[in-house]
Amino acid sequence: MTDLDIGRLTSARTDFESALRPHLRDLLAYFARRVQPQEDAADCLSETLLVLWRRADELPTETDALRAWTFGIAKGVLANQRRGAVRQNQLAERLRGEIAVHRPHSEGEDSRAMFTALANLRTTDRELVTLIIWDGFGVAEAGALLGLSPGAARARYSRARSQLRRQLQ
Amino acid sequence: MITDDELDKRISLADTARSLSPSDDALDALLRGTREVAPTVAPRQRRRLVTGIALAGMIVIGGAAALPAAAGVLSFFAQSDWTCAWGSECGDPDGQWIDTDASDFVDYTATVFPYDLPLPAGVDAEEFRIAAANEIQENPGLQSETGVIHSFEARIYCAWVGEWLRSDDAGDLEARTAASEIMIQNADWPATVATDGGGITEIQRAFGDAALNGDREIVLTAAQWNACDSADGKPHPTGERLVEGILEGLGTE
Repeated sequence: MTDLDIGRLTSARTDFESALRPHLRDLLAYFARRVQPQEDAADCLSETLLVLWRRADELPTETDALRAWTFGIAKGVLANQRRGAVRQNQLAERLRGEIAVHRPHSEGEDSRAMFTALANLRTTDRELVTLIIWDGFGVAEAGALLGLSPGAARARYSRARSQLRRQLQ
Repeated sequence: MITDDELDKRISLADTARSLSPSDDALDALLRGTREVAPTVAPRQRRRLVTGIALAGMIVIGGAAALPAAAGVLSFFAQSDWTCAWGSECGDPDGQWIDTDASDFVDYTATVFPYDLPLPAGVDAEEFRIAAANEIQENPGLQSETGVIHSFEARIYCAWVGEWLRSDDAGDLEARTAASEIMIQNADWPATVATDGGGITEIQRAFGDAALNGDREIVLTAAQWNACDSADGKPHPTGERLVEGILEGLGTE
């Protein structure tokens, strides 16, 4: 029996808050990096938590597995947000307000050059790079989130980095 | 030449959420509020599937299973109601997100498994599909439908890599050639093509060509790059240089 199987046997619903609390900042940052305006990230996080709450009995308790699971849900919520299907949620109002006054540090020329270089990557390659560098996933983990085999993820990551280097030099 | 560390640093500095620091109170309030309001929020409607009826409708023709036309309207818990919002990453912009951890995921895969792709002799398609679906469930989460199909294509590919190595060990040139030809065809399999914007299919085709020439070193590289069980865990410099050359060549286009 794997750690994942053992985790599913626990009473995930009663441990919902303690299980998810360590992942909230990372999930919020995931959305904040990818939505405009940035404060919409609060509503995306709220939507994600609602989905996770409905499935609380199925949450794995092993940390890495839970993290991958929550980001899989978040990816679907992000897709809905891009279709305009995530509405502002009163639950997220306070968080929205905090994000609205946040000013990203990355506004210098170097950052603009990097934004341009990232924008010139193929979408999956860009998402692979940002999942690894910004969101802290391993190459295989990030590839799994994107439906790539480990080998394909390694190859595409290597290619994307080469492309970024060429653009920045 | 920008070093790896310098590139990582520059990418990190461009992170617009790097300094985002929400208060603990705001996060706790959101989490608490979710538990309080969630019972009043209707979950997404899911049409229940009676699995027995769905599978009983399958017609076995010459060893391959064909689903009745009505199967297309059946729904599984695995189907999430979410659709892909972007193009090539999902292959099909209208494709659904599939929950690989749903209780009926294995049953759902009967509707998308690529039964038209060949398997090595003696491998039962249904047993293969079920075993592969169980493996996919070891890493649960949401995948696009195309991603699920690609997972199967990748495992079928690995089965043929294994067959190539077996037939090479046995000195069975005919079987080895047959396996090589399937490895070449992998570069044109629909989900393999759909999930790659370029590069991977070129690499897979190169692996297949080398397999046809009897190059065991490259086939072992193919096993490694595709995370096949037949990978031997050893470095294969010739194969790695082949891959690097293909990637560099694509990068200069």
